[in-house]
Amino acid sequence: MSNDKDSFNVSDLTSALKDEDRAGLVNALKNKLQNLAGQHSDVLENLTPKIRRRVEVLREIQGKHDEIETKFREERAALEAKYQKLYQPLYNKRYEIVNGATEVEGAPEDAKMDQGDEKTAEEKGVPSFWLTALKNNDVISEEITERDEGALIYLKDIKWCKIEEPKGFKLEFFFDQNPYFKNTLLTKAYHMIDEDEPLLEKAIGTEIDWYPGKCLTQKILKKKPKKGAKNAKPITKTEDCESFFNFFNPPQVPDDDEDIDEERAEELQNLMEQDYDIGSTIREKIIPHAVSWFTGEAIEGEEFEIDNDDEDDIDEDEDEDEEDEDEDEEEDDEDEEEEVSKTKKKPSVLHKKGGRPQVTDDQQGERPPEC
Amino acid sequence: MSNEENIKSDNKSGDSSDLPTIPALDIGAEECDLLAELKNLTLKRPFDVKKLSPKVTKRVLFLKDIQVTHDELEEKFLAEKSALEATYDNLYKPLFAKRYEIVNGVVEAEAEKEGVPNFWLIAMKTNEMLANEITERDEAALKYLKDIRSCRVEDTSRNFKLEFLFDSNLYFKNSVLSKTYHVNDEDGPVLEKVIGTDIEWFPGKCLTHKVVVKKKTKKGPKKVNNIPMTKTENCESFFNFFKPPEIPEIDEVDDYDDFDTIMTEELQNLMDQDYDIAVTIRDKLIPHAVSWFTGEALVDEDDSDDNDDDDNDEKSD
Repeated sequence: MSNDKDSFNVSDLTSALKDEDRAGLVNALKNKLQNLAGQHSDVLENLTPKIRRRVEVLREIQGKHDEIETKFREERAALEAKYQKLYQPLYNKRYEIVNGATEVEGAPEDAKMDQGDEKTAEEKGVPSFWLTALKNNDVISEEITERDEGALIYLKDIKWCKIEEPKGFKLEFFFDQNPYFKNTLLTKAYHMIDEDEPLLEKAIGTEIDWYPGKCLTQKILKKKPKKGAKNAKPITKTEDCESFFNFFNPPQVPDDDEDIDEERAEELQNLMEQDYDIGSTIREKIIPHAVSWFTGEAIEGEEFEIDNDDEDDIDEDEDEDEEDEDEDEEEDDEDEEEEVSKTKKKPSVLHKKGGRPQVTDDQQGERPPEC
Repeated sequence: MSNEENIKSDNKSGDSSDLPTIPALDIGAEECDLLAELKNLTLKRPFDVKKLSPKVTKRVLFLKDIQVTHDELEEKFLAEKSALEATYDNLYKPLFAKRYEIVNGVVEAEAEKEGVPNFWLIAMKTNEMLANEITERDEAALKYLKDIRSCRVEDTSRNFKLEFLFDSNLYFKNSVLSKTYHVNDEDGPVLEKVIGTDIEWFPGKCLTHKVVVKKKTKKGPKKVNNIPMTKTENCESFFNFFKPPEIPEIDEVDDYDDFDTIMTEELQNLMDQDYDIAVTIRDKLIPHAVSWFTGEALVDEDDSDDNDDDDNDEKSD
């Protein structure tokens, strides 16, 4: 973990972990601070000798603080990693049950039922688990169209992981083989500017390999020719349309040299904020509490809920994949993780801010002390 | 961020394939208990348990056990995280106290109480975001700023308060100006309430207003009513920070549509800016005040933001 604020290198951080090297670290810190001071000496040059001495003492105090802060960040990161490891077997088990890879205890094995394939397929795992979980969340459900649902029933897992260089996180959506697109893995990566602030530098999504005529982010419009026209062929036009899968084609910030008017910049900023809200919601709410969203219990925890009659039904669309094929898919998934995401390398012009001020636990700085 | 309830109907004509009804005889006592339990657990927006076969129902219940295990772990994680943060807060406190003493000349037993003059003013002006808020008129008042502190409120990690401690000064009576942020966690991280200290300005010293004199020159035989008209006008000032844009009370809003209407885009932007300033003070300025004072913090900013240096040419008297 590189700490830009203190211009540490990794060896300095490593030595911080050993008590016997504390003195060495403090000396290294002082040297670095003195080097840095040479670059911004305006303030110091204009101080009286007494005040300058006091500032030097203040800088020593600041050095101690920064040293402690570095330890805090290391311990916090270690704590988070520890619990992610503890969560992982639970997520794996969830995956297996949802996708019918293993049967739960107490459920009788119904090997080779007399009933047809269709009946058997219906009983596999928990059908439409992720689609249902996503639709029960207000932020996400607004993004899902009816057309999208046909594809999202093939969604079999969602994962997230941290990215170190550059800092940020990545979401991974695992799909069964389906009639809509070739990819078995769609990813979305968020690159943050600062470790302690949720300022977005760039968002990158997988390019989706749609099968012909199956693209859900575009629709084909047919215009009837005028009566009596010699050219009687209908004119077709492709138009962008709303879809959850636009999530994988996030708004990009143009290059610095490109002129961008203020109105366009503001619109772009809003789009980026919305996109980040969706990504954060999936990472912080859907993934850790997927079962609660699936059953609807997570909704109870949210205030200002409008009490409407229940219109949500679990779709029992059939999942035709066999268990053996799932195992093959898992192997393919590992290969897919090497997949190169769609990249538009443009420097950041706009800094993303939360639609309302973003308060994200993972990205908060130190907590202020208790009153 | 819109949180409107926008439930999409799952009923598709011709698309939904209803499962055949499970004969009552096939559902054993165990399955009936499971169904009843599942129904109870999903009081709001219950999905139709009839559409789940007994096997799928059992799997969902097993998934719920996994979820409970996860949530218990999560509780432990949050508790450990809070404890870790509290541990380090206690380590920072003596350093901040020592800094305060040196900056304000409390330690040295000298006749003159010098400290480090204009410490916080210089530190703030070195940060680009904060510098934008400070006018020339503000600087004279900010010279009396002797400490900035942040703390949590009501034992909730997201709610926090900033405290600005001032020496006795010519501008206002208050010795502490504070700003409190209440963040509502339930519906996502949304600002719920922002409270700032009411500043008791001394007469004629208010930095958030200026007096505009309108002179009416009437040339004529009568010189009646020659008193100049004066008008008070709002003006830019750092101290507007303590009078934040007001967030409409949720209770006053009937539903989300009205809320969205009231929450105009302009107001949203003002709130965003206000919160950005507060977070910058809490997370950057307070922990690294010396680095901002000397300008060393700008080196880090250069690396991450690729900004030009704003060298601080402030000279102490």
